[in-house]
Amino acid sequence: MAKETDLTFLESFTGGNPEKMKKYMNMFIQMCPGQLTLMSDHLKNQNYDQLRAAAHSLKPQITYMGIKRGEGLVKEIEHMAAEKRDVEKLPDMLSEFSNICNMAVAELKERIV
Amino acid sequence: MKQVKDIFIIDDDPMQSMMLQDYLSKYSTFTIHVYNSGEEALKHLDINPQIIFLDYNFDKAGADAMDGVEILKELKQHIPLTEVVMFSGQDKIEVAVNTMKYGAFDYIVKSESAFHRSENVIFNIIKRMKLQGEATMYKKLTYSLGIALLLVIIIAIWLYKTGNISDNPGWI
Repeated sequence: MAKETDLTFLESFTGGNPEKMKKYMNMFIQMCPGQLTLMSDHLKNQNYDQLRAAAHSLKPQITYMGIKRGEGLVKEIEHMAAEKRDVEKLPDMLSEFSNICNMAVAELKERIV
Repeated sequence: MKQVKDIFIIDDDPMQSMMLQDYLSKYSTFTIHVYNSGEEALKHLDINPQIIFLDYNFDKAGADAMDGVEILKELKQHIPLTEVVMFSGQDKIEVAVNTMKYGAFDYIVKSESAFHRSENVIFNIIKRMKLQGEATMYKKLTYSLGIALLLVIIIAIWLYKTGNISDNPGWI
């Protein structure tokens, strides 16, 4: 099964320093689940502006962790929430995005150990 | 302001702030100060930073938090000589134009290349500061020479009028 994360950028950014890599991976592991819960809550409450904001703030971290499948998806969620367009598709998209992120978090946790 | 000593990073995303701080920490001459909101940074303007990296969105800081443009306006009002570089996850040209309108030096999209771009922006600002310093020096020099020339002319006229010098130079 293909990996969700690609740490090429992080390796290059940290000069391959394992401690620095661990620090950033840990930050992502700590922050990501909370952000996903927040996005899910905003969607449940049909608070699309807040959903857009939460998606927007998670976007750079998704990029830095090399979660390619998640990158396009979070951008799309951000745009759809901003424009309040095709909102009926958002639950499925968010569910897919959450699955990708959860798999990414699991991969990163494995790598840290 | 001829050298960069203090740099502010104002961002509510701790990972982004830490990555930029780590990236710039290779330059030991800079002291990096990190703040997670504009309100917090505005309390420390007495440090008088030369460069500020400022996030455009402050969604995590709370609904009442000032947004990037509001902070930019405050900064430009209190420390107009400080160069502000905006950071955003949005690659929309309107956002960039809006920040430039309020005096931002540059606009960087949060991506893998953002850190390298930040470094380049710092060097561009240093280059500009040096050029501005030189321009000021030449302006002062030109002004001083002008004053000196005027004084020589005034003294020459005065000497001529008082008969201390004549039209006839001594060797004719």
